[in-house]
Amino acid sequence: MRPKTEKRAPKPLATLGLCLLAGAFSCAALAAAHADETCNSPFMTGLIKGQEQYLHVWTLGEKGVGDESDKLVTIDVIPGSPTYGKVIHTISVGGRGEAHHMGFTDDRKYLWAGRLDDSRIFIFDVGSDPSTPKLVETIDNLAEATGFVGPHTFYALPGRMLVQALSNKKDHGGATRLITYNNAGDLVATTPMPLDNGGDGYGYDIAINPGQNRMLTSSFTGWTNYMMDLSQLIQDSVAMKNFGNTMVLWDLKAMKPEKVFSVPGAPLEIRWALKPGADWAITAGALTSKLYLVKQDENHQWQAKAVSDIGDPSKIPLPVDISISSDASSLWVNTFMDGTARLFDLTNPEAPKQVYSKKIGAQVNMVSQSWDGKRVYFTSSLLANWDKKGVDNEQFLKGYSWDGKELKEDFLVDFHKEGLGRAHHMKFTARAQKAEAP
Amino acid sequence: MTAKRGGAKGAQALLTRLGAALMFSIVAPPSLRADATPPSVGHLPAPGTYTLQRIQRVPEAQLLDANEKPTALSTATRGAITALAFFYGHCADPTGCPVAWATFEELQKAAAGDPLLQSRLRLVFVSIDPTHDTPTVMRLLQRSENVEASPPWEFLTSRSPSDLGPLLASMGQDIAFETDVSGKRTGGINHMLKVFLIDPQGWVREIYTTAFLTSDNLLNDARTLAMAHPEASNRRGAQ
Repeated sequence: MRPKTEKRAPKPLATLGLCLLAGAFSCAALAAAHADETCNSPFMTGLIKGQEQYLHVWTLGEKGVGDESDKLVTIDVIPGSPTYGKVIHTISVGGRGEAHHMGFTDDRKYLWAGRLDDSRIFIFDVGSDPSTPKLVETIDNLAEATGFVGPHTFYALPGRMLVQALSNKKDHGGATRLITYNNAGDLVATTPMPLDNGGDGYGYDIAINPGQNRMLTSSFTGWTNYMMDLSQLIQDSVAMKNFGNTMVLWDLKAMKPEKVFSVPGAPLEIRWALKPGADWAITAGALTSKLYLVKQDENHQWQAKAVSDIGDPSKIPLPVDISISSDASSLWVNTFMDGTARLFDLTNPEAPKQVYSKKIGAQVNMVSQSWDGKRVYFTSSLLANWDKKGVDNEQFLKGYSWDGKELKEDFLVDFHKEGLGRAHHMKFTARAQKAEAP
Repeated sequence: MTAKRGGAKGAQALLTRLGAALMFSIVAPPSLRADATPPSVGHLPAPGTYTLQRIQRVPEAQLLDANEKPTALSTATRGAITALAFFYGHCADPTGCPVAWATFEELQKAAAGDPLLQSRLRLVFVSIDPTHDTPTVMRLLQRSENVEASPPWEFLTSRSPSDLGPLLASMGQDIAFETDVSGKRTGGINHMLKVFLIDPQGWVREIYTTAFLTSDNLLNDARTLAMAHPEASNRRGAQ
């Protein structure tokens, strides 16, 4: 199996030519949206406000499972389809490099997917036929070209992809940079995470509020820690000190840090409220099990503060992924250790309240919801060396309906039985994107 | 502060110009107004205090100017600070060309009174519909949008869609021809609005989509480029 390794070769992306698609698109289908299915870049077009059709899962290869290779798995999620809830396509990329997160380009035609171990970035064409993604390019010189490793978050800017690396080649610690590529895969710039004014140099997620010209970043840990076995890691007191404890507010235009917030315990995913005029963001501290709110105070100064516990922090439930509703009224929070999805009422973001919970499996990591919040999808894998062992190492994609009161399971794809591996990040596509202007 | 968008005015003005000058059989739909919430971008850094990234080179492309003369795209952009957008003459999408049109009118007006930009900023519209947007059409539009002492606004087209294709692909400007239920083209061309800010050396330094496109934002960046490139000139052949 490939990977095809065309180092920074822009040609495959430049061969689309005129997009002479039959006119199923509305005018607004090609207009930029303020936000996507609640978590993507606001610079991305093609907001799916209706029914998503395909769900792509960036899957870690697992020894003894199928071809043991990392792969992009596509599942049909069209209700009523003969293959609803079934795997309809897989594309293995070769090897196991700690497949992790993905992000669409601004035109939603390409999906960039990264590996945290070998730092390869795979670019899939999902615009030509989203039911059968095609690998069109591999960037395999990130470490050599920049000195940084572990491409984690992929966040679209107009004509560019902003990539948050987690670590560096020199010491595999947490000091890292933001890397900017253009859509053709050419390196444009690297931007250091701040080490002054309280900055720890760490990085994890990216979230942008265009109207405020603000970008937020969070902080996790370096290669040494995220590649270490979890049971070994938590007993290593020195290693446990090497986690991020900050978030950074940036001037997006200038790509300059403006303020560093103290946010203890590895703040991970960041979500801006999508409700117009609601200029606040929320994140979860993985090790402190708290929700943190980033908002301007009465003096118009940006601050970050803890606003709620997640479960019982003393039991270290390990909150991982979060998903905010499109009206910013609620937030799904997955806690990995107890395999539970928790819904928080965000009506008052200063005081979120857990209003619902459901055990999804022995472990649960990622959560993605449709724009209308009626469908919620969960996957199981955190990191290859952090996933549970033995029978608790369940690997799945589960699709649920949410009626406002109860999650009802619609389908299950057992990634072990299907010979796929560890199910991680999810993204939606639709063949004819019924997009709407913001 | 963000200037108010004149999208409706620009859209109607565009159709009025075309309708009057060319007797296009266009009936402006009653909904033709920029009714989407206009973006605003606050807290921009002061011009000259930041550096815009070099995103990509503007590819070379052979186009036609308003006098039907073959012209390289670089001839229209090199040496100046250029704001470039793709458009088509009878575009009626209130979130598309009319927004670009209104933004460019605001740009031109603001730059006319700005010593930094008056002689350095050039505006370029490139048609994505060469079948209908002939050089004659371009000439009429160009005449209507250029007055003395304002930065020039150039209108370019091409010989055919196939001539234009590589440029659109390279710039990431996708288009899709609208069709009716029978598959016949309606004349509409869907495209995601993008405005490109280009430096005198031909580098794209910023790309504005609707989430980030305001004249204030664009002027701020154009001033930043002008401060970095005092040699820039919007006179053709000045580079």
